[in-house]
Amino acid sequence: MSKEEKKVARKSIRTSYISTIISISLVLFMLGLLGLIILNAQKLSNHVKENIGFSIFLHENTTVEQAAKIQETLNKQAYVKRTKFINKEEAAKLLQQDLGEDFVQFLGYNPLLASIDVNMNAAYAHPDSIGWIEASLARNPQILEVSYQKDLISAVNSNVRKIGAILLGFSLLLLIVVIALINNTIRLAIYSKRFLIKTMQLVGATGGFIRRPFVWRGIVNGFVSALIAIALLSGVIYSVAQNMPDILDIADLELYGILGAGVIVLGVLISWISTSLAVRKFLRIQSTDLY
Amino acid sequence: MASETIIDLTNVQVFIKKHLVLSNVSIQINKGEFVFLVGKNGSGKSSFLKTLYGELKLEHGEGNVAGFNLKELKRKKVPFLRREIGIVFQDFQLLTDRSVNDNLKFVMKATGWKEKRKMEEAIQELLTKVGLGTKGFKFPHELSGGEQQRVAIARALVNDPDIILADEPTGNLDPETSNEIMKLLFSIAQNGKAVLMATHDYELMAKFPGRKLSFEKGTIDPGIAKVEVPNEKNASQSID
Repeated sequence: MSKEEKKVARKSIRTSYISTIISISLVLFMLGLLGLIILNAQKLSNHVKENIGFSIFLHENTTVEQAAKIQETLNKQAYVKRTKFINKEEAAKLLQQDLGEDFVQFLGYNPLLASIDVNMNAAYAHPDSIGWIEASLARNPQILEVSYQKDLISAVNSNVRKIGAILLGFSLLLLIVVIALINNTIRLAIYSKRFLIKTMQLVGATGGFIRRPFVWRGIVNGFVSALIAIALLSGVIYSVAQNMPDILDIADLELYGILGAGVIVLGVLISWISTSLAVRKFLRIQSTDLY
Repeated sequence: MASETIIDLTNVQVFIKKHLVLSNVSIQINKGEFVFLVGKNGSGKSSFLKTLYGELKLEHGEGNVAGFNLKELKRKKVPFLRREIGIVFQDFQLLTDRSVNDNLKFVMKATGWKEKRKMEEAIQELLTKVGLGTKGFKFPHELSGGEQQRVAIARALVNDPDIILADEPTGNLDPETSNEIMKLLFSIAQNGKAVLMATHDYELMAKFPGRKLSFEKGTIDPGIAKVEVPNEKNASQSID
């Protein structure tokens, strides 16, 4: 009888902890999913921006050595992701492929110029940056022209900014929802122990002494919930990476490390703060207000 | 018997939020006194006790309990006042999530006890004193009402306080168990503690001699109060 009752009491305490942990895990999992989308959106945005570039057309009389030197100088610049030298012949071949006609034979000469295609690092793929890059390149006598699609660059930047703002707004909203849900779950758990807290106060325990085990349990719960959320996220990442490898790169461990650390930090931090505040509230109210 | 004043109130007014519950309360209680607090429901007995243990802040009048000035008592110091007072409630208010031993151990740890062996010895001594020497391993819900109240009394005695405040400690108990709890509280008073007990049980008051403070018309009438410090003779007469 006695053992049975103890079992029931312990089971009830365990069940309450488990339901709290499950609730927090699911909310953190939702937040983790959004984090995954945001981190990948940044990668996607960088990928798009890094495919934007400009072409540097060289003067007719530029030698291969001079072109190579220009390319070498360009490769050392912070704004350059990669460069590709296209000589006159290659340019003609590419245009022939596009046109489907041998225009060199038709014209009797190759009017195209040698060029260097430059892809920029994402941070510099902006009309302002390209403006000063163009101005600095124009000072080189071997460079005839710097060509780029100003409208396309502006449009890409504008769209990326809009999508980013929407995602940011959505993330903030979800973060508030996550904090509110975890806070509510923890407050309910602490609410169920409000009479215990009051009794502890009445026998002479200080606020700190009462708070400590609750806060410690809150931190442990937050950590365990974060681990469960990470396990769920890993399942999702593995599944998406298996089925849609273009969208997710399973080998991007740095990204998943940041995501996991973020989930753990948020889980622990929100649980810690919510538990502290909830216990503090019940430590401050009078016994008549507990009912 | 010691006659040192342990509770000293002068022109005290007791408020619950902004509602005046008691006024013009001037009372001195000595160590070793057994004091009954009597009066109708809502007459302010519990509020008076709450003021004594710092749950209600003393805003008007002067009050000194176990060396603590109630008017100047900061929130942070309230736990230290409570360590000088043992509190017993009608509904026991034990920590239901742990055993009897752990209930007592919690109070010990919370009030600065460190040595495990000393704690275990003290727990055994306290439980034996209240007649529960073999029930320390049980959870509160496994005990009868009377036994739970005995645990609450043992808990109140952990730090050997000079004052025991009991808010209707027999209110939930049958007459026989009430009598046993009264004997226990009475013996505590005989050991030099001041015991203040709120009650409606006039039969018990008739059996056990003690000073009576009447709560009526928004104040405590000390006019009918007669200091009657329990001693071996009258205690044994009452108990028998």
